[in-house]
Order: sequence, then structure tokens, then C-alpha cells
Amino acid sequence: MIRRHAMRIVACAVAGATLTAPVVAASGAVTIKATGSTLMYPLLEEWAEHYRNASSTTRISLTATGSGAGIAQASAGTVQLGASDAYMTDEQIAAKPGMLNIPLAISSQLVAYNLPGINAAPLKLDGPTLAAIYTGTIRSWDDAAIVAMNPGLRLPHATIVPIHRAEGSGDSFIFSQYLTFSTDSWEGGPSYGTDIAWPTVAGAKGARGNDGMVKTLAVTPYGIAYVGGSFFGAIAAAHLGTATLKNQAGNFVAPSADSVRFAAAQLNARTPQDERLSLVFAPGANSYPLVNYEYAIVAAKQPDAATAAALRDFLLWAIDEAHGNDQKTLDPLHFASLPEYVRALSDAQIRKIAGP
Amino acid sequence: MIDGRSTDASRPRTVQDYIDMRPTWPDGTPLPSTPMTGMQWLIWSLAAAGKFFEGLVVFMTGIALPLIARQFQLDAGQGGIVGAATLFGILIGAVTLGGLSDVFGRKRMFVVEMIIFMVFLGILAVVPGYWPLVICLFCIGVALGCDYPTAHMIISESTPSAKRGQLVIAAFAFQAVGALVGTGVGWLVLQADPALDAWHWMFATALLPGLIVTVWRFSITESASWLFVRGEHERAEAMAKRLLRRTPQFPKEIKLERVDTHAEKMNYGALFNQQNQRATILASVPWFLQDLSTYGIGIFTPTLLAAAFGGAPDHIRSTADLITKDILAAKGSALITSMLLVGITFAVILADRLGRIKLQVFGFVGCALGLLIASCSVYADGFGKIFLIFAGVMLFNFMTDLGPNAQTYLLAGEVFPVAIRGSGAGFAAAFAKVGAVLTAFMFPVLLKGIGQQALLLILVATSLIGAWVTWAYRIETTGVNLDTIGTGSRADELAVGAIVVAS
Repeated sequence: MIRRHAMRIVACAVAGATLTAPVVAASGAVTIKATGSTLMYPLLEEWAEHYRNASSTTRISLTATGSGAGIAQASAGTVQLGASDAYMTDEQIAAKPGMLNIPLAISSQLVAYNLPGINAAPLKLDGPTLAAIYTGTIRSWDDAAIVAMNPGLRLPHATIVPIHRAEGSGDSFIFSQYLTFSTDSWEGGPSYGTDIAWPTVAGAKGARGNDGMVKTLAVTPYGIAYVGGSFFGAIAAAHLGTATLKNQAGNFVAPSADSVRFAAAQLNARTPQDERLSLVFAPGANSYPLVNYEYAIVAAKQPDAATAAALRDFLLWAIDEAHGNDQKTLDPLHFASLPEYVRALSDAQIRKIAGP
Repeated sequence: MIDGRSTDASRPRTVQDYIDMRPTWPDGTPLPSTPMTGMQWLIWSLAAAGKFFEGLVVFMTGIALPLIARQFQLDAGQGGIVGAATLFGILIGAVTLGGLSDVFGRKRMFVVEMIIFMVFLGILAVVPGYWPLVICLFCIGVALGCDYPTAHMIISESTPSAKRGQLVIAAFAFQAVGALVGTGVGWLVLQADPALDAWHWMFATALLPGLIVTVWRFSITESASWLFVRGEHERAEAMAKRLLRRTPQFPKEIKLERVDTHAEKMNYGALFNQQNQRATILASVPWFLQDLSTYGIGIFTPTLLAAAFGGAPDHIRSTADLITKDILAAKGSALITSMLLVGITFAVILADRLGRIKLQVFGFVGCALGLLIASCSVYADGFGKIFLIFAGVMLFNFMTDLGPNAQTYLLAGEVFPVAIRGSGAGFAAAFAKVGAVLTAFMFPVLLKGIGQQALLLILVATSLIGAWVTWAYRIETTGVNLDTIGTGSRADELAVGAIVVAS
């Protein structure tokens, strides 16, 4: 039975955040309201703190609600910045044609597991196996498919507990796209998106936010979960394992700064003007397969000129490699800076933000 | 004067005899061939235009569908239904509306099919969702299915016997011209507006010229041969006179003898009676077998296109990737269609000289050879592999378009008696499309089950069977007066089971 409501955890919240119109104070100070991705939350929190020193008039107010909520609330105009691990779908763009999808950084996603006694060992997994686990076709850790990939490991005869996000999530988008690109049957079935109709698997769990995914996995022996790369520290602290994943070239690659940058570099030239591009399952021998742009979802037309200017300045600061995109700031949070080609595209999009 | 070689003294003069008459110079020398009248050229042009729009819209739909599927967020099952809708429509249209031309007349169905086509093309240009899309594609398919027999008959029952093959295949070739233009228009629209909803403009470009053709079709003559077998002798004479209006007028007078016609009631059962089953087998089975091998050679299309234009995106990672892939597919379609045009040009030149049967047999054998060469690519690497695939595919395409692709269409509209010609040709087209639908589903399974090499060798065999069936059930119609088919006259006896050398 899916114990979904037991896991209703609000990942993070910042005091003072309200879902109302932007506040332009009489003094000229502007508060930009942001909500969305729990993976991106630590980065935005760091940026908000740093930006206090860069701007005396703009404040960033944050909540972590998941990428689906970030896109929805930015589209509805209840926040000025929707943080999302996924770009808006064509359907969402058609419904809200004035929305911009602006990459601010590059992130990764980890597949974490809780195998008592062997969490320190690097477990190898591939897309079809993960798809089989999440559809319930593979139920035990000592299934022949997993054993064949991990000949040196003594895997337990224990039932696998797949854990997925309970709310609309960019992490679900990235993970399900990996399964879609690597597994025909998944492509023809659940496919990918922020909201997935997860196949019913006995014992499977749902969790809210990346924080919830880590906490749920930590108390679920023989569980497996996909978690945003910025929660690497939380996974390590909980003594959980992180899988090495099979990429498009057929190699098993561990998540690292190098393998994430390598994957992004294979595809950055394919980034279109609107920057809605998937980096998942990138080609290249050394590419880590779960990589994505972290997006700011914003309306090109803001309710007033002051808010537009404040938002524009903040986003330009965020993608500047001397400020927000400084790799020294990003490294501890497990994000990578934008390549020059993509930075120029983001810059051009940010400059489209204007008042009424 | 009447050219004595075009008539048979043992039977009354038919409409086709009048159409085949060759004027003579005052010294008694006949013209080398029967000159076409303005109305004959108009009929041919409007039939060719219909084929042009078929090619245009079918290929534009091919380019538009990935965009539509993404915009409407179609899942795999819905995508499959969208992909099959037109093909299924052709199947239904060929059997139902195609056969109705035997009841309501060639011209009426020629107009009706174009109206159906235009109405649903117009809706397609603004279609709002999945089910309307499926309905539009199905109904366009129905119109195309009707056109298979109707366009053929409208030409073949109004043009001289000696030029019939040339004219029917030349009109058929306009499908390929339309495909090229459709691909080009699709490509241009995507270049100008690389957006998901650009497909609206693709379909919109065909609306105005299509409307002109639709209206113009009202002005042509009804098939005099069909009117005659219906017993409407006066109307048949009037239509023949309008059809053959030229300056100076020739023939001066058209008088059809009031004889009992052999009109058979519109009944599909008649296709399988002793008199017609030979024609039914000849028209249907080789066409079915030709569709099989066409799917087979399609296995190599991705390799061929990658070699010619570079690889497609590894996965669709953005709308831009989808459009890039679509443009690549458009270029591939243009390449394949160009090959088709070369083969079909030879078919136009040779159909009335060498005869349909010889070309179809020769074409099937050539297809088998092309498939065999392509199948040998599994034993080669690098350049050798690409060379064998190119050589095999090029040979196949040339041979199928010279032979079975053109000749099956031509024969299907010629081998049946006037009264059931629409039903017969419609049945043959539908039978072939049943094969196409079945193979579209079975091929991926077979490919996985028995492997590429074995599958291609099976197709080599089916192509050779196509050659054998063509020869064993041959009915050579080259130069034959179609009004005599199935009437038991001397010319018809000659036509069945014997090779008639065109005069």
C-alpha cells in the first residue's frame, strides 16, 4: 500500500513568504517572490543571501514547493520567479505564451538506495532495470538483471521499495525522461513529465520534496529513490548509497562535477533560443545520464517596471560567472555553472523581461 | 475518315472506337496518332491535379504529424491511430466510393471525392484536437481511396487507347510531383516559422489551388462509355460529341448503335465469377505483393538518410530537435521521391510500347534483385555496406516505379468490364491497402523474430511470386479498346490470356 499521506512533508519554507502580488515599498524596495524546485532551493537560498550584499533594494522571498508548483504559480502570476528542474511543456507554453524558461545553472540527479550493509558499495543500474523496478516487474534486489550488472556484490533477497515524488516535480520529469529515453516500454507507458501516473507497485511510497525523499529512504530498508544532486550531502549524512548509472554510450558513470559538465557540454550547442532542452541521457562516453538545466520560469511582462527591473537585475547577477554562477559558490551545492553559449542565450532572454 | 485499324468489323462501334479514330489528310494518309481535344486535356489535367494534391497533402501530413502529435500531446497509441487513419480511409474509400462510380457515374464521384478532400483539408488546417484530427485524416483517406479507381477511369475512358498507358501513368506521376512540392512547402514553412503550430500554414497553402481544381471539375464531360453501358445512349452520344469537340470537327458525327449492353449490376460478387476472377487476381495480388516489398526496403531508409544527410538527433530533447528531425525526414522524402520520378518517367515512355505485363514482370524481378543486393549489406562494413544499401535501394526504387508501382495501378483500371470497373479497381486498391496495414503491424514483429536477412530473402521470394502471378494471370491491355473488355468480342478474347502487341 502506498503510504502517501504519511509522507506529506513540506520540504522547506521560508518565513514571511506570501502568495500575493509583488511588494514595491514606498522606499522603492522590491520583494521578488520565488517558489518551486526543492532541488534548486539550496542554491536560491544561497543566492538570496549573497544578493543582499549586491542590492540594497531587492529582497528574494523563497518557498520550496516543487517544480510543478513553481511553474503553475509563476504562470498564474502569484510569484515572479518559478524555480523548476523541468522546462515548461509545449502545452503549458501554448496556454501562457509570454513565459520565459531561463537556465540559471546545471544540476544532476542521484539514484539513492538503502541496502543495509552494502550502501558503501557502488551499485550499478541502468534505465531498463530502473523502469522494471518502478513498474514492479523486478521486485527483488537479487533479481538476475541487477546481479548481472553487479557481479561482485552480494545482493539481498529482499523486496525493493520504489519511492517516488508525491507532488508535481522536476525531479520526476528528469528521472522519468531517463527511463523514457532508455526503455521503449516506459516510453510507450508512463512516459515523462512532472506528474507521472506511477504504475501500482505493492509497497511503493510517495514523498514530498527532495528532503522528504531522503528522509523516507533513510527509514525504508531496501528502498530506492531519485534525489536532486543538491541533496548529495543529506544522502551521505544518512549513510545511503548512490548508484552508478549506465549512460547512452553503454558505460556506467558515477555522478561527479566532471561527468555532469561533460554531459552538458555534449548538448549545450543544441540549446535552442527558448532554451527548453533536455540534457538527460546525453551522448558521450563519460556523460552522467541524469543532468538538467535549472530554470527560472518568469513572465516576460511583469506587473510594474520596478519589479521587472529588480527581477532582471537579480537574474543577470545569478548567471554572471563573477557572482551567482561563480563555480566556487556552486561547487558546495553540487551545481555547475552555465557554459558560455548557454549563458548568452539566458542573458538574451532575461533582457526581454519588462514592465507593462 | 475512320482509321480502319482501330475498329473491329465483327461488333458495333463503341465510344472508344470514336475516341480512337484518326483523322486523315485529303490524300488519304492518316495522322500518325489521334490528336487530343481540349476537353480530353482538361480531364487529364484535372485528374493529374488530383493526384498532385494527393501527393502534396499526404507528404505534408507526414511532415506535420510529428508536430501535431507533440502539440496535442498524443501518446503512442493515439499516434498509431493517427498514423493509420489515412491508410484505413483509403481502404474504405476505394471499396465504397470507388465502387459507387459504377452506380452514380465517373464524373459525379470525381467531383464528390474532391469536395470531400477539400472540406476535410480545410478543417485539418484548423483542427483543434485529437479526435477531429483522426476524423479529418480518415475522411481525406476516403477521398484518396475513391480517387484510385475514379481518376484512372476518368482518364482511360476518355482518351485514345494507344496513349492510355502513357496518360494514366503520367497523371499518376503527378502524385510524386505533389509529394516533392509538399515536402518543399513543408520545409519552407518550417524554415520560415520553426514553431510547433507551423503545420496549420502547410495545409492552408493547398486550399486555394485545390478549390480552383474542385470548381473546374464540374465542367468536364461524363464518361460516355459508362453512360452507354447504362443504356443512356443519347447522353452518351452527346457527351462523346462534347469530349471530341475540335476544329475542324472530327469525327463529324457520332452514332452509337442501340444494342443490348452487358451491363452487370454493381455487385462485388461479380469480381469473383468465372468471367472476372482472372482480372481480379491480376489486379489485386501483384499490387498486394508490391506493397509488401515497398515496406521491406523501408528498413534501410534510416541508414540511407543518415548517410545522405547526417544523423537525426539522438532523442527529441526540444521542439527545435523535433523540427530538425522533421526537416531531415522531409529531405529524405524528397530523395526517395526523386528516385520514384526517374522510374516512373521510364514507365510513361515504355508502358504503351513494351506493354504492361512485360514491364510488371521485369519490374518485379528487378525489385527482387534490388532487395537481394541490399540484404547482402549485412556481410559488409563501412563504405561497402553503404554502397550495397544505396545500390539495392536505388535499383529497387527504379524497378518498382518502372514496373509494379505504376503498372499495378494502370492494370487495375483496365482489366475489368466498364460496368464493374470502378468496383474492380477499388477492390484491387483496397486489397493492396489491407496488405499495407497488415505488413505495417507485422514487419516490426517479423524483423525481431526472424531477423533482417531472412525477412529480406522472404521479400525477394514474394517479389518473384509477383512476377509469376503477373505472367500466369496476364491480361495485356496495351492498345486494347477498353469498351470491349468483358464483352466477349474478338478484341476481348485477344486481350485475355494472350500478349497483344500494340500497333
